[in-house]
Amino acid sequence: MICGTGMLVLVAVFYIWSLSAPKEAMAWPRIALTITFLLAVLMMALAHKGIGVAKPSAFEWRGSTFHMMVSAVGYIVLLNPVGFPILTPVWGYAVFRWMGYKNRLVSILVSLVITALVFYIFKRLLYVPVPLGILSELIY
Amino acid sequence: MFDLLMQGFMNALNPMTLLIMTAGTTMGIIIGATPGLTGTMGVALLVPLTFTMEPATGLLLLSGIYCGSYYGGSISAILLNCPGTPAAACTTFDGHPMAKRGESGRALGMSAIASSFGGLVSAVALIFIAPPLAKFALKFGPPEYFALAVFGLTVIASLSAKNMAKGLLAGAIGLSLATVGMDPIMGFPRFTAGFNDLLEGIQLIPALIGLFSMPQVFNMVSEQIDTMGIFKLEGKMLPSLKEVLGQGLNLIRSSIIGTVVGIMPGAGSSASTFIAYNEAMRFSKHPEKFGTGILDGVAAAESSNNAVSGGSLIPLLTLGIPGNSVSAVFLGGLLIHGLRPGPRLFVENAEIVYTLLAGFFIANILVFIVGMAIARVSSYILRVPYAILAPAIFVFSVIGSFAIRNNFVDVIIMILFGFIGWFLKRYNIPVAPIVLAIILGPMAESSARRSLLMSDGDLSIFVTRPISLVLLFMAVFSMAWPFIRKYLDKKKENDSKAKLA
Repeated sequence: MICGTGMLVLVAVFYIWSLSAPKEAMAWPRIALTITFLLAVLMMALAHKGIGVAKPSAFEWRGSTFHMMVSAVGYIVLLNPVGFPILTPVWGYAVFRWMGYKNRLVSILVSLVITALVFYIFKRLLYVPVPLGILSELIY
Repeated sequence: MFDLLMQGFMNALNPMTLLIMTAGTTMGIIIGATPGLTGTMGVALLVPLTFTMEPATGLLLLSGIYCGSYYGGSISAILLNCPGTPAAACTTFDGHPMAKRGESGRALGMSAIASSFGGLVSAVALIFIAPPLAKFALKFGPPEYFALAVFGLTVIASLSAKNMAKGLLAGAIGLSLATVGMDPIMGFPRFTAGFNDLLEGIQLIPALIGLFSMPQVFNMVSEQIDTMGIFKLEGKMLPSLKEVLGQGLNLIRSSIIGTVVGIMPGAGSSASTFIAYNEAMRFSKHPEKFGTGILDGVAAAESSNNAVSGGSLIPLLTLGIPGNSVSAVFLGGLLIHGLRPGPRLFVENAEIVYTLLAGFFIANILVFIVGMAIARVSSYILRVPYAILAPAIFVFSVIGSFAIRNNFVDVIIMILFGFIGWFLKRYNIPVAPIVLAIILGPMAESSARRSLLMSDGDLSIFVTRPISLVLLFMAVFSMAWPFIRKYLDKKKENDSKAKLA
């Protein structure tokens, strides 16, 4: 029911958005949005009748999954200013520890190895301008 | 065709290409063997690595991962009773009881032989079916492409047989997401919110990485596999020649089933393994022994699931329709090298395509060689803790998404799709239909609008051309099939009840 309601709100927002553009360009998106709308209504009706009700998998909003999601967003936000070579080992070590990996030395080593490996593959082999952040003046 | 194929084999047997294919197969096996990681995720994650490679070499790396991951799934199925990939679920029935009896070596050996055999049969089918089908598809115009896209989209119904409403909803979400970007005919920006980076639409690879990798990362945090129950590799590594030959018919039958199921869009490898296992049991002289740990069960399941790989590439390469989620990701790999799947691919990029076909054949031989070599260390692979895997996959996904266009917007798309994927997974809404719709939506829209321009807005253009009409009929049938099947099953059940009464 929550999922269906969220979907309806999103569809409504996009449908209103589509009204501000030429009809010809928006005909196809409106068809897609209408189908989405109808299916969301159908899903809500089925949920109301108790048919195919989703049984969400085990999840705690205050649990580790939530922490991982927040830390993932934090990593992406900080990646450009801090830089990959510094942020990744620190973030990696923190996540290993959170997830209950006890061995400190292995956590440090693994986070450093992962950083070095990904950096080497993308920066040196594939010439990808990996964000260097505060190290951008030092590493070329 | 023969000359091109020979050239393809020559290219694929180039030492560097062979080395890359071996690396791909090894990575595929490791990814497949790790519970929680799938071939789809592996291919999506490693697509960015192929950027700087020659298109054929990059695609062969992905082929290696694709083929290897199917076999890899059997390692954890046998040693851990936990299928590494959904397709390996059937392998647990006989593989794990064999491991319990101390015959894990034989089970893994049979699995490697069967996987390689199934893959080779499907590679042969790919080599011989794909070119003529592509030649036929050259006759297609916009109305046929529209009908084809509609047919592809109806596959969503079969992809989500368990809950069609949810599958269709996922497909509709995908269709809506596919409209972000410039409109294909007038060039008007749609739903871009002024971001120029979105004018080209949602980038497929970051979306795929997000949809397939991120939910795994988030789930790994809350799941921990008990690695204490891993069985070590015991007993001899290969079944005897007599035992292998004894499985001949079983292997051929299961491989054909896998290939045919693979060609049918949406059927998937899990379905093929269950069908093949069931058929092996039906034709067996000792059906009662199935499930107790016999080679027949392992051979049937593994040969059919690897055979799906080649089968699913047939509609992908010739018509541009991915039959399952792995081939959808594979399509992403083709696109980043500027190769658009479809009949023109066989004309405009013949050498690359034939190198891919030949390489696919060789990759399946490598599955056996690498598989046997890696089996010895497989129990160690299974012990890698999720605490290490999850952050590593995340970091790789972020940098991989960034590497596609060196654009941070792709990283944001990746994480957004990751959240969408995780949310949908939590509500048991399948993700594969979204991918299919993102790929086929633009094809359906542009060909529908081009067709209508051709016919001055007359809708009958879709039903007055024979190929288009047949494809639309197939689409209707594909939509109706789950209902027909349900009705037939119910009727069968009622009949058997009446008989019993």
